[in-house]
Amino acid sequence: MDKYDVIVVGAGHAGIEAALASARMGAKTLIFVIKIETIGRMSCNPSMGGPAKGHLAREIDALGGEIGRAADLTGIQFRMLNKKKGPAVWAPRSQNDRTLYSIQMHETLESQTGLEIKESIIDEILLSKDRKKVTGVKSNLGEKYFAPKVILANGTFLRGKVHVGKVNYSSGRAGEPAAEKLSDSLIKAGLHLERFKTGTPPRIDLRTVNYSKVDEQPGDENPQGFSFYRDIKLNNTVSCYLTFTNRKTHEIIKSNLNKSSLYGGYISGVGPRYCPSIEDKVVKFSKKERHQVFIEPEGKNTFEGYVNGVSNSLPPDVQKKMIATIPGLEKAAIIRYGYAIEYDYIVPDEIKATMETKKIKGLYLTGQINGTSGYEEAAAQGISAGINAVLSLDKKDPVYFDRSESYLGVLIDDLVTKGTNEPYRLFTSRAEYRLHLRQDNADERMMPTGYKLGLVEDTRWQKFKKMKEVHNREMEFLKRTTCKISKDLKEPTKYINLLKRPEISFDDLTKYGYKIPDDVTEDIKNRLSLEVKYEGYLKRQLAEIENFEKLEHTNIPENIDYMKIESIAYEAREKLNKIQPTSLGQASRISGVNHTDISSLMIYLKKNKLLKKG
Amino acid sequence: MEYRNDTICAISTPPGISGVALIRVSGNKSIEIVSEILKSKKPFKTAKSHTIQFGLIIDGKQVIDEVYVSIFKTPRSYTGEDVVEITCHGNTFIANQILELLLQKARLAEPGEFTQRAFFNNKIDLTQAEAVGDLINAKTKKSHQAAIEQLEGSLHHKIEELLNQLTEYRTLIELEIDFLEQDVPDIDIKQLGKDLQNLLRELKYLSSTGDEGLILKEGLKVSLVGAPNVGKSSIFNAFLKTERAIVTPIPGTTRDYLEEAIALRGYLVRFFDTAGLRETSDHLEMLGIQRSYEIIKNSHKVLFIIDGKENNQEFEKLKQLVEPDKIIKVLNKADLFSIDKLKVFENKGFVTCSTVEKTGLKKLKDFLIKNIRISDEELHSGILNNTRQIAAVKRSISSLDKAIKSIKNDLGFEFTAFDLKEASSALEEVIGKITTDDILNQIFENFCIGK
Repeated sequence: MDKYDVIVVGAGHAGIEAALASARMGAKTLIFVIKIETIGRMSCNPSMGGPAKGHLAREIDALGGEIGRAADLTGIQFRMLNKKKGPAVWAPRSQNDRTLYSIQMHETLESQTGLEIKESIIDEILLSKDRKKVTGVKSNLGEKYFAPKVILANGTFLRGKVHVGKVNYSSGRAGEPAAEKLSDSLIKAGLHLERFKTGTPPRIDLRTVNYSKVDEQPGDENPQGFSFYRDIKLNNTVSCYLTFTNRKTHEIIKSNLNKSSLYGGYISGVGPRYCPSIEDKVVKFSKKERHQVFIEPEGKNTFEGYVNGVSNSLPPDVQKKMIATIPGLEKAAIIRYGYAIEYDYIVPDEIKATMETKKIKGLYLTGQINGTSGYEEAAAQGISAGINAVLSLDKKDPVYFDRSESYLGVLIDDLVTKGTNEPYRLFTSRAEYRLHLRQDNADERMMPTGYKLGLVEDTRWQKFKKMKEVHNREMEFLKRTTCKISKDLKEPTKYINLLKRPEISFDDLTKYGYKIPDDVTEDIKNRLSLEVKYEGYLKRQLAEIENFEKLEHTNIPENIDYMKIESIAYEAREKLNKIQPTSLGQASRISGVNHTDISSLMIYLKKNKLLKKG
Repeated sequence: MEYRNDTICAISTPPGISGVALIRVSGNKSIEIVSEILKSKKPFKTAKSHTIQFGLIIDGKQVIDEVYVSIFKTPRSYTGEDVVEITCHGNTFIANQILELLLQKARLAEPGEFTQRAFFNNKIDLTQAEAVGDLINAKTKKSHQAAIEQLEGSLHHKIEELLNQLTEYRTLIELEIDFLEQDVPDIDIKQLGKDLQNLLRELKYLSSTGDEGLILKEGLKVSLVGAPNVGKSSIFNAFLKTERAIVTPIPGTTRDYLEEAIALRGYLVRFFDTAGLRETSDHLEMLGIQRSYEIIKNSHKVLFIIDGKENNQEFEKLKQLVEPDKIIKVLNKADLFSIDKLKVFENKGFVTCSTVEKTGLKKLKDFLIKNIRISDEELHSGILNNTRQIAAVKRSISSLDKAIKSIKNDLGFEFTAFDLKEASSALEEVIGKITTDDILNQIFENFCIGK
């Protein structure tokens, strides 16, 4: 019999992080993938990061995950977005070599001790007799694999159905088989499944693009990546290109709407509003005369290009005609057609913040299966599931990521507390404490936890500690030391007061006698300047966080029968029963639960001596 | 109602006539906050628990009142937190001034919040706890209902409108931050700065109607300023004789000013005869003048009275103390001047009157209530008419101010967004609206997002 500590089903961005975290924390781990070549496949655009998503990738990296490292190693173009906005929303983004990324992740999984890879389709989860615990999984070949912890990371493969015009077929991703039977097994286990849809644009041969008609978007001069303390050499080897649709494009789409899977009525799933198909854009924003189209190279060793902006489910001949109307793409040869995909997801009120299902002990759900979208969102859930599965195995307290500490916390809390009615994507505006959750300080926020869990190697930890040391030393120096007089100063002042001035940069301090020691890196200079210049705002944010923490750390025990608490409004009782919040803070964020209900809940808990400060 | 343990304060005695008034402060910063406005023999910060200190409440250099301050350190206090109780003279005016000073660092307590804290800190037992539960429920529901009822009128709409505007601006900023690569209209940051200025003006107007709402409730405070013998007292008395004098809820104590109140065309008008703002070396007189400063500063109107002689020094001081539109310049003893001479004064903006011949008094009365813009009707239809609402609008104003500065200083959109969110939350408090953040919905509805 094949026995493991943790089984992970699916080796996409969620599954990889789950399996690596699990193995790195010492659990005997098995990961299933339908096709070995597709490990870590970037099935949407070949790009990582952007606002909130880049922040998330940095956090996962600091926690000891793999996504940032792989993105840095396989990046072919790097840009820091939002550079013109403020520092809290600067967001790293990369274009990646799709094939290299997969190979990189495959190698990482293979070289991980304690981790076994198996190519197989999983049809069934195995349950204990009372059906309250998971015991393992069964493959389509009838083999059984046993583990007390099973992490499902199936992505869009659950009863995945690809649509191109009127044609549709069962598939988890174009050209790959779906997981047809697993859904039945999950429904049988009592889980609530719904359907979402998403889509992709066509891919073209870059040799057929007329570059004189498109705008080049090069990478940054000083590329910055995602990973902390790994000293990866980043390379800008390609550019992206921008062009636009026009009236002709829109006319073709409008006159062929009935042939589109979406508008022809072939799709029932709900799609994401932030990532609409070109059909949707043309119909819903009919006044807009043009829409952006980005041409993104897929890698160094291929001429394939991703035509970002024209995701659709039109039949091939219409796709061809439509693409040919776009300046620069008149003669573009399509390599793969765009398609829409419908898939099952499990309504996220089925899971706890540890990613474990409420109904079945030991079963964890992570990634797109929970109704999210995006590589980074998937990876974040993956690492959280991996960590918590092993902690639970070791009978240790779970790790909760809270909203004031990380985007990871915002993501998971949104999912389990508020749910989602469209494929969920992270935005910086979802974070209440955005000024604190910056990409530059992700290491300070996450690394201590990662190190404690054994996910961050000692060499990186030492570098982090060194950074902190230098940072603290310099901050003290700035506070304590008076500068030398200069012409533009009436009287000498402390360096910190100089740095507070908007027009004075860290390097400018040398004009006032500050000798910057060699170990003060650009990164440390940035951190110091930011903390000094925005001190007022950061303090106000921290005060808000302090208030937030009070409620957040007032824990609610498990298994409370809310229906019995009559002082709470009926609707709120139902909601509370379903979500089973772990803290008063979480309870207060459930829609339909108001302040009065929270007061009543506090009193109930207090009366029954259930109120505990966490 | 939220559960925080920041420092809160409130006047605990009912308003109106009383020997003393009590202001309670609770929370981990209460001792520090009070120590900043208290001048006492021994440093208040090191005072022992369960002791009483005598001292002066000061606003900068200005003495507000002589007070007794009791200190109860955690956990041996009503709420279980550090509690400071300030006992001042039983004058709503003074108690409010002290409260305002505290509010610079502390937050105004919600109804029942002291008791609530006592409950969560195990200071009251289970049966009491249930009563508190009911209380909280009742208060929340009631205040919510009250908020709706009170504000059903035009003001409610006004605030909703302002909130909608804020949401629109916030949406634009979030769009810039989260959807920068989208083909959405670029934000016109200069225009936004202008729009925010307009919004600020509207909020300030709103806050001023709130102040006027308070005038209707607590009376219009009018102080009389002028050199000795210009006839302040005779004007003072003339008002009292011609209008119905009423008993004021504020006792005219032993202070160095006279206070009388009259009902003037439906408004409660309270007159304060002050010692003026002159320089003096006389110690006693100086004390009186110090009090005058406070009264004048808190007046809605100031009658600056002369009898023909220039009194520039005092007028300049007055202008520094109050906004110019609060000052009404009065020439008394008009009977002593020729008509031509009077014209000269009138052209300089003086209201001329004579208490001897009883002329000009009506005009003076008109001037007093001329600028009260709110009608009784409006008051009933809902106006910012309590300190809590006014405080919330003022907080909104302060956040909006910061937002405008953040744009001016080119700080970064996320900081402006932070300020605007604060401004929104404060306004939401006024109308008792609890919103979930729907900025993203706004974005998806109004802009074509997505590659």
